[in-house]
Amino acid sequence: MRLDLAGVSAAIDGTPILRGVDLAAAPGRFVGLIGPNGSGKSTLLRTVYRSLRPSAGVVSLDGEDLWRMPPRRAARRRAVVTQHGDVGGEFSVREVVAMGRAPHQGPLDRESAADRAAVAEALERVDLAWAAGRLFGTLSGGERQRALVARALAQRAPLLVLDEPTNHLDVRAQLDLLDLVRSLGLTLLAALHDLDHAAAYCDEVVVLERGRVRAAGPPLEVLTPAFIAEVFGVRAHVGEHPLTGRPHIAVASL
Amino acid sequence: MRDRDRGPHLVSGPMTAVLLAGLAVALVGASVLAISIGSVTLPVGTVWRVVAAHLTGADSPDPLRDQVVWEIRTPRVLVAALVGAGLSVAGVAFQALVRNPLADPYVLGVSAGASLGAVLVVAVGATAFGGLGVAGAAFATATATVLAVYALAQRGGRLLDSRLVLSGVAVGYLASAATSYVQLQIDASQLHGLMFWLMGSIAGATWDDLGLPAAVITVCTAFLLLRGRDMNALLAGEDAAAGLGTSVAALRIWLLLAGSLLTATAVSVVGGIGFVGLMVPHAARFLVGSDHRRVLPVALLMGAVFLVVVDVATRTVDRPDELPVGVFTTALGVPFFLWLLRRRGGAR
Repeated sequence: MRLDLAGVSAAIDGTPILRGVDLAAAPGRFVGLIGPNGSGKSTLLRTVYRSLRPSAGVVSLDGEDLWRMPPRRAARRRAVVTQHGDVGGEFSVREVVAMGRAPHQGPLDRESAADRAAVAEALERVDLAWAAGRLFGTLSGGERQRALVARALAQRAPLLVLDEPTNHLDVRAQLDLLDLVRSLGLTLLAALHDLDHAAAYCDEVVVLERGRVRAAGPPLEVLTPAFIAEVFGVRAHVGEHPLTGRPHIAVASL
Repeated sequence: MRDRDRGPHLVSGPMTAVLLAGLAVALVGASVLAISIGSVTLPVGTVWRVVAAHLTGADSPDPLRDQVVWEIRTPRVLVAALVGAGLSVAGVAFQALVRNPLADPYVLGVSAGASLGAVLVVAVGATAFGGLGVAGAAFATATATVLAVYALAQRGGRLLDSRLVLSGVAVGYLASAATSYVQLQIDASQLHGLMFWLMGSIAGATWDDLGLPAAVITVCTAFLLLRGRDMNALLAGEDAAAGLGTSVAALRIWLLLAGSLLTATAVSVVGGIGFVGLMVPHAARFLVGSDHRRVLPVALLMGAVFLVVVDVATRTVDRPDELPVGVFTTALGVPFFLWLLRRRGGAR
């Protein structure tokens, strides 16, 4: 599934946040959306969630305008893991994951064999089959985030959009989650705060600054020390990770 | 994996059907008892015979008892059940709409708006309202209140979270202030009956009061059940719900309409009965978790049983006088609610 944003602008309460953003995520690629706080990352993602309509421009999936699709059709093509990882009620982990089947079900449909298989497979994929009968609220932060990824997997959508998925997770849970989503074989668009994560995991990064795309391309081409200093206001060392051999970015205050 | 039958909720899987059946039996039982108890207590067997005679079209055995059972007490019990059910379902809808467990059917000012209509009818006479009775006027002003709240809380047709509750509270206070002012203009003799209505009373319910609430509750509950999955998704927030394919803006407007219609109907028939719509949804979730497809039917039946039982209490505690039902829902509801909160360790 290919995602394209073409000239997308968006405003919140009349204040323009995005100003003509172009972005492309080719099938199977992991695109990292980075930028300082307030640069418009979450706003951009909300235009892809279909919770904030762009004031101009087009968001399209394989060339089809996302905002002109019926909502359930959109949800069969694009799944979402939002920033605030709460489900807002007393649900078992299984019930949470089963919500991902909603776009495949009519209002009167009961859970089908295909639904059950998709839920079981998603739970298995994120290693939470053991927790199916637990209350979502009793899980650790990392387990909750994996359960929400499983809910997205149950949607069987080829595009997965995540907003700072490693927020509030301990170091191991952060890396586990990034390894997990990268291994899914989906097209990924994720807002990331950690430049080191972006460098190590993304095929491409798109850097937002004050609602505009400042730069886009492979992480090592874009994220040079001089560029990082200019956009993020920190000193940076860009090199190879001594343990993994992947690109590595270490930062320090100016 | 056969984990789905063994949920973490007190009642889950097939046991939900057992719970619903149990509540239905409790509703029938409570209703029969409620019909038999009163200033003249009739044996349960007599109640059955009269009701059965009417349902089968047979001749009634005893005209006097027939009058008491069928013309006075049966409609009253049915109104209590309908209002309890309607307020509980309205509470579920409003709690989903504003995503706040403290929301109740009155949070958006509907009740205050209804009261204003009721006092206006008493103060200026029904003719000024085109012949509407107290119930009709209450319904009309409750509807106007909701429209005002909607107009204040929306931008471009989308309800704004930040404005919805504040608009509801503000409009509600305005209606309350107007109600208080009008009350001061009313004769003391009229004030007593009005106060009873404002505090909630099922006394004097007739068969004519049943049709509208029954229709509204049936339509609204069926509609909400069909949107149960979307309501579940909305609990996680607007972004997550949109990601799951829910039309969030439309859903929230429908929730406002359904909840307001249920509340306006209930208030216009029996006045302001507090606490049912706040407490019963919580009690239902305590049993079956947050899935609205289970919460809605359980809350509907629990609310019906609860108000039938409370109505009996209002008639029997201080015999031969009757107490306002709202006093009882609160007196019984608050201790139960606090117990529930403590048991759950203060969780939502």
